Amino acid sequence: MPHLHDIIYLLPEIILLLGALSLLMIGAFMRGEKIAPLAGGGGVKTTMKDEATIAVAANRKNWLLAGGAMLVIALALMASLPQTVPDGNEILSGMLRIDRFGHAVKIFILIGTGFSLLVGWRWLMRAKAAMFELPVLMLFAVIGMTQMVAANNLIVLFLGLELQNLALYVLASSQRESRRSSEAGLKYFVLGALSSGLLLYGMSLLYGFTGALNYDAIANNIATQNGGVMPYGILIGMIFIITGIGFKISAVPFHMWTPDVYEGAPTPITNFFAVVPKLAGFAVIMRLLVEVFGEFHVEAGQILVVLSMASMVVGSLAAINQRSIKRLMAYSAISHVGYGLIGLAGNNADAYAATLVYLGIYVPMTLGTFGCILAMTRGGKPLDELSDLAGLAKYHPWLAAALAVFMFSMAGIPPLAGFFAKFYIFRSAIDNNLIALAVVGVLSSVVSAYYYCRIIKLIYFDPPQAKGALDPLPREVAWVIGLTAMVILWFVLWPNGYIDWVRHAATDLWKGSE
Amino acid sequence: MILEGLAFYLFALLAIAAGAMVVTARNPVHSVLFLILTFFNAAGLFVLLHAEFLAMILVIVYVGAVAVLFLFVVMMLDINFRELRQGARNYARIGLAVGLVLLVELALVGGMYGHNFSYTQSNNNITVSPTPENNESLASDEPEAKLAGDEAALPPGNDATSQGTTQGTPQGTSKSTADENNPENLPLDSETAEDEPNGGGFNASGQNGFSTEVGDRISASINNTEAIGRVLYTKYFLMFQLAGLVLLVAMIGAITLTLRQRGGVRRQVISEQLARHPANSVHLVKVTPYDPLKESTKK
Repeated sequence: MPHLHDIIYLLPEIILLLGALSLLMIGAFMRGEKIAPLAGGGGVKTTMKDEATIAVAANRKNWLLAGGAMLVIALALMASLPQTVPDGNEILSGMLRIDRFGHAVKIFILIGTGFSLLVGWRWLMRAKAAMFELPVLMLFAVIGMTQMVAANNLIVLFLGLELQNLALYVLASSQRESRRSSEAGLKYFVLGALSSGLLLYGMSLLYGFTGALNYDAIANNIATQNGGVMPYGILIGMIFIITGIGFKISAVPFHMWTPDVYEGAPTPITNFFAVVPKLAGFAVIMRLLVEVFGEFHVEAGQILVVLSMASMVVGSLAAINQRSIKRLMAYSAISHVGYGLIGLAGNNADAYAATLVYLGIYVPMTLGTFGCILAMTRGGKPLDELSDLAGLAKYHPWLAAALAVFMFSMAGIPPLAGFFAKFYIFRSAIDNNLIALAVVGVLSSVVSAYYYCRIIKLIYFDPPQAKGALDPLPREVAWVIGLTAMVILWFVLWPNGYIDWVRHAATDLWKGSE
Repeated sequence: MILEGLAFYLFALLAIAAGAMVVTARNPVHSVLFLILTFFNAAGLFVLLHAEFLAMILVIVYVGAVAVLFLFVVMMLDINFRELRQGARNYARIGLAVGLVLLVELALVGGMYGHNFSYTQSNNNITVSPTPENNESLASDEPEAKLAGDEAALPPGNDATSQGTTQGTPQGTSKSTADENNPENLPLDSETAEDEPNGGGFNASGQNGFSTEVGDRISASINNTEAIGRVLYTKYFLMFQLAGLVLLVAMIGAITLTLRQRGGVRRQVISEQLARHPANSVHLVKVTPYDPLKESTKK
């Protein structure tokens, strides 16, 4: 029977859930929407109200809800910072595994979500796409992701994944006036459902051949079966599961949906998609590979090498010709997934630590870049073309400098954080004798340096467009851009603390499996 | 026994007849109604198999929700079913062939059922749902086995008299009755479980979440609805809650994406209607009455 004191390890999730539910209630019952009630005693008065007061009320309500969601995320973050770990790491009779790895990923997820909400909310409000449901859905998605990350059981994993996915589908199509947003939502939904189906099929094969749902029980079962036909069924199950999660983290060849969804979804939501679900997907696949498929590490390694190479090559080659900066970011995200997968192809704690280092650095890089993209508005209208960036340095020297920092970091230029991410990844590949993978990685990062540097050339050396300056930066966007740029610039000063922390998390994951 | 057999044939025949009517009825509304009848008969069959939970779910979900939805769709969409049926006739041969294949497969499965049903549990120490064992043990037709199961169904903690009469430890009773179960079968009552020296109850169920012990222990003692309820709200409560959240998110998402608030619509706000006061909603206007004389003088 689950002990009541296990609940304490679920404190972040409980905070998130209660926060989401109360924000939902506040949002549903609080006044200040666009439509004021007409009938009844107060109705006459509200029709008399001019549009401005109603808009102010709506504004206040929107900020209240987004701020509430950020507060909830901050509280959950504080609750998960102590990183308390139960004896034996399992709680609720083996449903969840609470370890330092899960905590680390959870912290990344919470930070990513909080900042993407902060940086994007004003954009959503200006685009008239801000609905009170959006922060609530983000919170639900985060709950799903934390469950995915902590899951020690296939059913919990699937339910967490679906919780996350459903929320993300709605978020993708949340800009209802835009046809592309609806298209993005529909595409994401169809392909997401397909990948969930693949994942579920893999899980059912796994369950059918091992008779177990808990990760450790499945691993035990695999370890005790030697020979026979059983391993083939399990192997096929593993392939399906890796495919399903490959869709979620948009690894090539399961990446088709990514550019369309990234381009169609409202930019703040794209930012959220680029940062957070990837972390959860990576955490899930890492946990599964270590805790369930430890016996199949050779076969899994082959699959991962192919996925990783394809993602790096396709991501960097396809990004060259993009005109839309959101599509470019989509391909860039795909190539980053490829780099992250290099670490998973190596089969030890250090390689996994390299992937975690990469993911952790990927979060501020992407957040900052998307902050700059969100700042690209002129006359209240969001811009998406790369050519709109031309001559940015003339009008907005600081924004241009920050964007240059992010681009150099993504390309992996030495003193910046992105260099360390790539350095650790490639070193882990060489340590694990994956020379071919390292070579492909370095080559594709050279290719990707071309389009990152092209953006810098556009900003600094191209003549500015006649249309004039961009709108002034909203204050919170400027803060987020500044903060992430600082993190990336000064990472070189104290990399050890962060890397040690992440390495502890990765070794904890591996320790649990032995 | 005879009654059970009669009931089975009644339900089965009605289900087949209603199923045939679903396909052949001319009026689509009648088809849906026959479908509901089929569901009810299938639920009856489940009850005969001692799977009350499935029976209830079938009635609640399929009759209560799905069939009603079908009815709505059939009634609200103006589909010309006669044309659809014209097309269906062209594919009758293929349909018959597929049906034949299915029938053969079913027969094969039925043949296998008697021989090789009990798959080995030796290599997998873990089974998940308590229902299969439950059905297996309870659906067996031998009355002795069932009686034994019923005896085991009385946990000593629940029934004071039985505690007096059985006089043994719970281990003893379960050993004598449910032989296919683990010897340390214990009732679910946590009080007695805690009193046990070897620590019974759920806590003893090993390090794995889903151990056979839980399933078996439940299976011998209580009916399957109760068994599902007991594990659903203890072991599986996280999944239960997560499933609830998934449904909540689906609901929020559907509302977010489809609800449009149009301007100029009169909305009813009951609190404001109730809070209405004559002082600020009734205006007394001094109306000068029509005076024909004045009118005429003006002219």
